[in-house]
Amino acid sequence: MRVSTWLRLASLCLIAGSLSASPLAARSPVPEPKKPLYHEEFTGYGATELAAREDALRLACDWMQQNLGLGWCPKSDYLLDQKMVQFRDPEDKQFEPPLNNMKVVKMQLDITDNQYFDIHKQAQHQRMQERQKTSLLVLFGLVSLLGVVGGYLRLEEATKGYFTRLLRIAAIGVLVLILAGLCVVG
Amino acid sequence: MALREFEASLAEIAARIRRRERIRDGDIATEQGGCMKFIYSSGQRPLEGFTLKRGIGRGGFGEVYFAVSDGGKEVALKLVRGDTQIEMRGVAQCLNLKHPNLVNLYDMRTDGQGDRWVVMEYIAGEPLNVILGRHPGGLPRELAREWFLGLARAIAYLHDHGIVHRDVKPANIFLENGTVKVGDYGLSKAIGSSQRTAQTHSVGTVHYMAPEISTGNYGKPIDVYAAGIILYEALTGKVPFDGESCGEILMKHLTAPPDLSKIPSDYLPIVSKALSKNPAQRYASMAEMARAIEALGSEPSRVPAAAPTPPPRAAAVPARSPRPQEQVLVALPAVSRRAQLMELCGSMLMSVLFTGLGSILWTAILQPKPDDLRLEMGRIFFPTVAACWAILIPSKFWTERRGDSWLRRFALLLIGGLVGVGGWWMDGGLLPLDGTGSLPVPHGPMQGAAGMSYFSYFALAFFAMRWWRMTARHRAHRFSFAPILGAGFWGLVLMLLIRPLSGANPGLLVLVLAMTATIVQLVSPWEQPPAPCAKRLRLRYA
Repeated sequence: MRVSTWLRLASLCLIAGSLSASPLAARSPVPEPKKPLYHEEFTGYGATELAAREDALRLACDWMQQNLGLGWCPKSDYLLDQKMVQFRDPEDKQFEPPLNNMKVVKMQLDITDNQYFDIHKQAQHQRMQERQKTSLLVLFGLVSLLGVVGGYLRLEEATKGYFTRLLRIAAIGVLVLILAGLCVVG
Repeated sequence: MALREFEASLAEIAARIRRRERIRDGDIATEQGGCMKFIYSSGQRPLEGFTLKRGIGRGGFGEVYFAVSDGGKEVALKLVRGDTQIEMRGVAQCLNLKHPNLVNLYDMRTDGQGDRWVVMEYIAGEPLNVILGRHPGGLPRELAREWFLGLARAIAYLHDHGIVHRDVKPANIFLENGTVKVGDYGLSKAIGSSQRTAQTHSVGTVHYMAPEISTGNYGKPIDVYAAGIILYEALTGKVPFDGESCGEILMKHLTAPPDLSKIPSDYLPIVSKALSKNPAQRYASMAEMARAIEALGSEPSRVPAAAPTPPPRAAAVPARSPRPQEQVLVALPAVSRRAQLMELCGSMLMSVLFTGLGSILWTAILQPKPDDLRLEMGRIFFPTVAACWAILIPSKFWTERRGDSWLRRFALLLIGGLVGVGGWWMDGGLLPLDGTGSLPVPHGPMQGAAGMSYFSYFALAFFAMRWWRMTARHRAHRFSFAPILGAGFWGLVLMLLIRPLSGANPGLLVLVLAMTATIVQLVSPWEQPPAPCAKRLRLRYA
């Protein structure tokens, strides 16, 4: 068979593969809405009830960052706003000095299917922002490189090599400056 | 015995040519022990009174630099290495020659280290071999005729002054502002010394080497023969004798009749006569050959001769079975690699600018929430820049070259796939490896399947269209809406095929393709395509 025939077959396979791999084909059944996807309990400690609650929320945020695998750490307010947490009545507990008497709050974290998707969306947004920032830096570096190379070539051509050394030094200098700038910003 | 001597002579010539070509290509070390690089760099003054600006060429006989004299005169300086005696003798013969089609030789000088330099006229134009390389089907007939006449006049002038060039080849013919300039007198010798006993070196370039050189005849007919080969090459785009080795080519020069089937009928007797194996049957002088070409007039004959052809004879061969021949009608402009790189840098920079403007315009129309403004702009901007660059870079090297469309498409398919993966990553795609979570993710929409969809979408979109044509220098129109509509159409079709690009706005991806088609056209250099041609002819790159 000719090369072109193989290439046509390869493209057909790619189409077929992409269709079979599409999320529509691979979609799993939607879970029951009421049942929480994740259920976890945290205990917060603090001198006051508020401090104990904040401690519990912080633990929940850390747990989500570590265990949900999205690389996103939600803020405490987010958990409260989304009504993911339920606090139980605080308890007093006696500890060894210097802690002495502390408030202990137990908090229940329930993440439903919809809440998970919202978390996912937030995480995705954060990732997009970070990646766009990285890409912007890389693009700036590349654009600078292109500008310097293009400028050097044009000037070198225009001056027929009269200022080759000077232009090279200038080009390298500009590139070093840009690189240093990128390192500082990045 | 005579046959053995002849074979030995042939083998010696082939070996010498091979070595010279290898030295020219930098494959082997020179006599000085260094690899063939320019010995001097910009700014050096090895020769009193001249400052070197840059190296412009290398050959088996030396290096050529662009230099400026202390008085400001731009010259070419040739550092003669190796066969100095031959070179210098030839240069000495030509120092006082003056002809509009010859590269002027100003002086011969010796530097402090005893190296010999030739001070020559600086020619900014390109050599003919580079121009021929861009015309695989041969030059337009009128242009070939005009340039050949310049070459013939220059060679005839040399012959009139008792000089045989002996290395007439496209690489030694330069075109500056439409004028032909014949250069490289390094191998020139007086006709009187062209006896076998006087030869210490075999010279010439194998594709243009007359058969009688193997027997030690170095008279004017060898230039006529080489000119005939150049005329053949200018008309057809190929040399008449080619082969795997120098020996094979030389043997063809000696024995094989040239294939004249592609030569236009009116040129046939001229080429046939110039390529006669017997020097006595060729034109007696270049002036005679030039007159024969001039006699053809300016009206080009579009009818090539029929194949196969009989052994070359002076008699005219009638044309048979006219067959249309694809041919460009004007010479494509000279664009060097350096110029291509400059253009590419400019195009890539401009594409960033245009994409930025397009993204701003689109977000202004879309009016997203203020918090998402930059994010939405970035979702268009980055994939479009990546797609534009992914098309511009390979297309720059495909422009004006005939190539396998399917191979190009396949290359674009892979490149498009990479752009797709990049787009997916930019859109916050998460590889399973990225996830550090210990809990199972229920049905993450941005997992592998979405990545595959992105990959497929861009790969197939790049595969579906001949994107490189949008960047061609000689495209029909500088800007056309047809490719944009095509990109939009394929974008939509693929969107239906690869529907659920989770997390991505389908319209956004179509927009990226349409913007790419727009921007690559806007930023790619464009020149007026050649004038309309006869119906039977078709532009090679159309």
